[in-house]
Amino acid sequence: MINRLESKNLRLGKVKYFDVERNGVEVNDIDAYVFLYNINGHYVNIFNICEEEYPVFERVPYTNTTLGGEDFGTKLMQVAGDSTKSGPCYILEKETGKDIFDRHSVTMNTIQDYMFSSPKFFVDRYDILTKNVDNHTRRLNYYVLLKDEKDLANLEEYFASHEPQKVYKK
Amino acid sequence: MDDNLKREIILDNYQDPFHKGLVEEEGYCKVNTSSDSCIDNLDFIMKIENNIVKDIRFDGEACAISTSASSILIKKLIGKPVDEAKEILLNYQNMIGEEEYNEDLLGELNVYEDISKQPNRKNCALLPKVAIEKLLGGLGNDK
Repeated sequence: MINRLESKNLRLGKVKYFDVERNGVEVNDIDAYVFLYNINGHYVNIFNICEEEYPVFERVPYTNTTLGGEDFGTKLMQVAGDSTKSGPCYILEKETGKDIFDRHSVTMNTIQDYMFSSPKFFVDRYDILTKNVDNHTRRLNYYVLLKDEKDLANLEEYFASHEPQKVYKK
Repeated sequence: MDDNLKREIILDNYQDPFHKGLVEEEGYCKVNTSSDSCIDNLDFIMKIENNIVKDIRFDGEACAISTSASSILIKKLIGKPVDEAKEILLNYQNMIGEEEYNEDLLGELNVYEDISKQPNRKNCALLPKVAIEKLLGGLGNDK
């Protein structure tokens, strides 16, 4: 059984909207984050494994060159998942779990503690917090709960306002 | 079932799937199954002897739900008489489809009891069931 997650395979990701027509990732109004776990090259949202596996992008150095000959810039490269339809996607942040937690493996509780105390908006935090209302197992921050509820509703509205569009590969 | 336990079972079977990888031996039938809504594309092979499911194996590319469901289903079905295997599959389908089912028959497969809340993932969870059902019904091709 997996009790601890290997921190090198744990990545912080941003939730964005991928637009097939424009072949690019839009900037959301809301900065939303998620913890992803790399298993055999696929990335799963560890707090909602049953969620669809969205396409995953990583920012890599892009070889633009200045007049002075120096390389600059980055571009988004897809590293996992299916990008044939518009919809939510994940963009990996630079930090791995190893950078964030400074240990080789972490428990789910450690990750939850990090999320609870973070000023960032995590898309799964509201669900975890509301489950804790029933379980009374972990401390609750009602201010975070209310803010997350509002942010989550805004994010869902934003994604819903974009009609999903499937493009089939030839 | 507790959410943490569900997560562990799914991750465990996704990271280290049971009987992933096909074999080149006689006596197996094979089917391919794929999904329109996900990356899933899996081959299944099965050997039945004396009306008992002797072996099932699978290979291919699939998401966390399809892979883990294949692994758990295979563990559950190997060694079962064909009729019992069909009954397990029927109850599994009923659970995914939010119909009446016998949870005692399903064991670890109960981790998918809430998958119906995510309509997109129901197909992923049912993909191995559809393939194995074809093999049990003799609809596979001889390898």
